[in-house]
Amino acid sequence: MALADYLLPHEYVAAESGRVAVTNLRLIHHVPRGGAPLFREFSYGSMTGVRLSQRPRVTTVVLGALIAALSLLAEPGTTLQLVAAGLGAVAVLLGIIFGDLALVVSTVSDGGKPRRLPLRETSRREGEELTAIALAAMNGEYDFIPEPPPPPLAPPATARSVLLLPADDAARILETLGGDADALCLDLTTLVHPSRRNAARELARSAIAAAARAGLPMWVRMGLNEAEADMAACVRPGLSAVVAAAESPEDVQRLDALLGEMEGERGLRKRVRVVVQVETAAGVLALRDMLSTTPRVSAAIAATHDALDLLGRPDIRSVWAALRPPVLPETAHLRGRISAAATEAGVPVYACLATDIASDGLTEALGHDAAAWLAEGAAAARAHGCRGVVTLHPEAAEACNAIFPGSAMAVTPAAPAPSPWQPVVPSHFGIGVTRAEAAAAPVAKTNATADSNPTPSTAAPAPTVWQPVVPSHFGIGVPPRATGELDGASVDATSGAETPARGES
Amino acid sequence: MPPVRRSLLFTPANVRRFVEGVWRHGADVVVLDLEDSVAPGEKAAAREGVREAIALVGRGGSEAALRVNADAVAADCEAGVWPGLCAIVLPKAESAEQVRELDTLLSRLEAARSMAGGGVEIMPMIESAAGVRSAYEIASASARVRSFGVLGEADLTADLGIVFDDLHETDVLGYARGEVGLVARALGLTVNGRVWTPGRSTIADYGDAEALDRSMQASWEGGCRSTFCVHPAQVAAANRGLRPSESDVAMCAEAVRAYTEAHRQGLAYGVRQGVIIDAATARSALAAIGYAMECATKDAVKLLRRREMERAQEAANADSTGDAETP
Repeated sequence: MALADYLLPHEYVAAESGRVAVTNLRLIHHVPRGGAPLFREFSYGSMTGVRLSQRPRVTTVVLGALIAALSLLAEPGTTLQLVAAGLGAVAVLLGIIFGDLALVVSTVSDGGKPRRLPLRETSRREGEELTAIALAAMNGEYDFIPEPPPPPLAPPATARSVLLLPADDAARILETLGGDADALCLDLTTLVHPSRRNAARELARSAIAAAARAGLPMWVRMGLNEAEADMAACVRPGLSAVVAAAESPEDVQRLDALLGEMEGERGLRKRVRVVVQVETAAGVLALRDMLSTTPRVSAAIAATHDALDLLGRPDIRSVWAALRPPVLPETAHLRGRISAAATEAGVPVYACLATDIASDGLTEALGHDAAAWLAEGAAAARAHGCRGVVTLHPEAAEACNAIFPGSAMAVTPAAPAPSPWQPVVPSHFGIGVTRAEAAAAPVAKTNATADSNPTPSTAAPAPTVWQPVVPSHFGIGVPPRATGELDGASVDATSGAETPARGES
Repeated sequence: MPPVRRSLLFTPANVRRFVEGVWRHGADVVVLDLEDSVAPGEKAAAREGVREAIALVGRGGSEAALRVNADAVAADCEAGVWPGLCAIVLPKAESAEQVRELDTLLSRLEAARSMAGGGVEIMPMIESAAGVRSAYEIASASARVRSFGVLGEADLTADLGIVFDDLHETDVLGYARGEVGLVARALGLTVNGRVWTPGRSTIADYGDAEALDRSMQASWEGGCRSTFCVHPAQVAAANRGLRPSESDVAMCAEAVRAYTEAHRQGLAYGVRQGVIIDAATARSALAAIGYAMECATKDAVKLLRRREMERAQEAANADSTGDAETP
């Protein structure tokens, strides 16, 4: 894994030298070890000191001393002896003057034993500059890049399949990180027993970080009543969207305000989206107003399958999956309402597919034709104008990926022109990686794996996302790009919003 | 738990024979009609009989409601709002104002006639495009609107320029039905009316027993709790179909059990036949079981009252026969 892959979506490298990178979030030491590189990271908050250290280069000094010692064996006063002694002395001197450079980092938890991070192939001047930046960063004095204005939100993009998972099920989360779904949605509501909510939040926190590293968009479904606690755990780099069963514009406003507060407190540049799950009649009626409450709203989930909630059915016979079609005909009016509201707001609608069937209950509920049932459901969802489905079943994700268009890139409108605000990254660390470059790597990877909608290899960051531009006279300039057809994809990969296809390692 | 009012049987308020005999049909509610079943020239006479009719139609355990004329609401209510009346059926509802005016009128009459305040429900009927458009405002205009969704199918099709008989083949009122039902759900009201099914099962067609049963079954599954009837065959079908069946109750009980056991084990949901039973599903299942019990109770009460009435009538007949034989 390269350093660029290790970075979080909003993280960028301000300076890098000799395998030590100073990012806007932390200090990272990168040790390539074959297929399993090692990353050591130090958050600035935990660091108590950083200094440059230089130790004599042992091999050079020993070699010089050896040559000098061997010169004693030669006939005294001969040219050979003088040359050998001179060479030995010069080597020792060089070994001392040009010794091994290292960054020595002390942290609150190291028990007084500072960590020594070797700076390979780094000049003393580069080492000093890196140290100065790290020190300033540690003290909160380094102005990495001026704080940009709030980035415009990406145009709504879609995932073909969103896999719903109980947030307290670590095994399934791990399993699905490498699965077929375009995005994951951790559930902190009905799929988690109330007594396990806190544990689920802790696990969600880790899962979001893991998904971010895997380039997988991550949503979290939370209850309106517990949104504050759920957000406290989950609003962090890597969270793409919050899903909630809102019923009124006030509900959405509250989610928006809470998210805004937490993003501000945590210095998140990427704004977390809101996905409105419609599962009640009141929600259907208010959907149009809810979707226009804030630009944060990026999608609606139509839980029209859930006839019990939406139609208020007093019996539960139709819930037995084997007795019903994937899409209930009597929900036509509701689907029409939802579709019209979403179209007006310009956001995609996701259908729920078999979200009421237990993860290991497909065959029991649907018989051996489960795969056909799921495919039929996905096809029906597409026919009804949905852009993807939310499901509990990896099998359904597979079916959806085959049925829905490969990505949202082709269907999302072109984004607005880039902001005229263009910060400049100091480029005197010639080997520094800009945020844009860091962001570009997963984009390229993502596009390369979007099999049903291959993207040109010229994929570049989206103009809708804030990105620094390095003046070209430093030789490593990143030219501002024109608004293009890849906006949705780039935005997704860099900002963590919903992505139609994800990168694979 | 809403009251059990599966069948709402219209009875012309001015036909004494019907008013006296309607208790035999077992309707949950008898709707004394002052509107379409009464000729314009007979309205005044019909009003005069309503107070007595309320007691007569309730002898078999049915509740009594009154359908008023949209253009004579005040006069009809003055004549018909008396103790024993459960609801006013308001035809051609098109605005919230109509409902609010009726609400005020009912409050005044209830206070004047020693009736519980707010006890008389308002059942608006949506019978025009304007009514569909204002459904939300109409249904939310008064706390007296506790059930909603009834479409006056014949008048609505006429207003929309649709051929009524097309309902046999196509759900030509699908939008209106969906919108009105949605409003009822959103406001937490009991849904009245019926889900569309193909065949001759409209309010005006009751000859096809199978189609009628199919209609009631679909309506129950679609969440409807009550329907208007114009014939005893519809009453029987509604009482039979608009309630949880025995197998429904068994399934619900199983679902509640699955959830309870899972919850006890610290699991978020139970699973039954592969399907997730979460708290919301378990609550719905419990409510369905409760409603089934209410229906059974209602039927038992009606049966007892009918038997009492039959015995009383037999006794009266015997007496009259005996009197005739004595001389």
